[in-house]
Amino acid sequence: MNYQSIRAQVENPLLTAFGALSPAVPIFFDNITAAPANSTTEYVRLNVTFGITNEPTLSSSVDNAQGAIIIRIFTEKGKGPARNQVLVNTAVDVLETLNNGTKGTTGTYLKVGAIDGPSFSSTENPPMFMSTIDTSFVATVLS
Amino acid sequence: MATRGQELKKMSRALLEQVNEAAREATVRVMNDLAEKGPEWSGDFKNSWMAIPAGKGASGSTGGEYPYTLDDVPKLSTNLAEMRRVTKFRIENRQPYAPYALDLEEGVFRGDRKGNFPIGKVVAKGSRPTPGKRGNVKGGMGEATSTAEKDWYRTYLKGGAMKKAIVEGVRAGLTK
Repeated sequence: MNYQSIRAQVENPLLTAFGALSPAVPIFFDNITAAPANSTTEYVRLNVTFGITNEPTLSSSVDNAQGAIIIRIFTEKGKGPARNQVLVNTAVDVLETLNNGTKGTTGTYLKVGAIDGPSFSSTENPPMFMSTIDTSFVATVLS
Repeated sequence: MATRGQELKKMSRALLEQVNEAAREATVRVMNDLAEKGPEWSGDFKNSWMAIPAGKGASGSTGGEYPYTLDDVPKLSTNLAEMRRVTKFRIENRQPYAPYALDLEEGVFRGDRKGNFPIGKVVAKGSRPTPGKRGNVKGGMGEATSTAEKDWYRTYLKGGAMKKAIVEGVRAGLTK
């Protein structure tokens, strides 16, 4: 099982999409401790978690993994939801694009499920306005 | 093509009861999974899962404690109107702090006081933002302790494990 390639399928396009915004919005992945501790500037956190790996398949050359993608978007507090929702749009667009991939004979093929959210809260410390979206994914690693 | 109601009318009472038993079996498995995968500090959260029938006419008690059994899940009515119901049970945790334990809301957590250790397996130690999510414990300085993986609940719901538990539970219930 190539978990790293599955993670890359999610992380890379999100990194590119948020990096292409003007100004670019930093995105922090799992086990990255560089999230701005006292910053009030906007940023994004992405968590990719894995659930079941390799339920029985017809072919031994195929690896399957399921899991969840959780994206939390932090923007300035007290300024309304508009900016946050713009960034949510960016994340949702990327997730939807992931489903456009076509299954080949090699590589990693990933599809996401229904997207829950965004749900909003504003209790994060430092004071930020936070939205969360999450979805399931099923990935197939073809060898 | 027969409607669902017409199909249900053709089913014998024994078969309807078996369908309900399958739902109960699946519910028990999900409750035990949630108890095993969730945080366990005092054990109260683990022992507070309950299955609430979505419809009317159910009998028996709900609640109990881990490991959950069929006795902890009410029996469902075989009334046709109730059998048409897609949602059979709602599984809830009765602890008021459940949204924090499920990593759905941020909270302020008590520190690890002397002589007060979790009975469950510790998966992370360090510091947690204040307020912050339960599972947002990072290594290093600090006395925060986490006994379940970050986002364990979302991962269980979406990572295939819940679906697997339901499929296995229904299979077990139908082959009894």
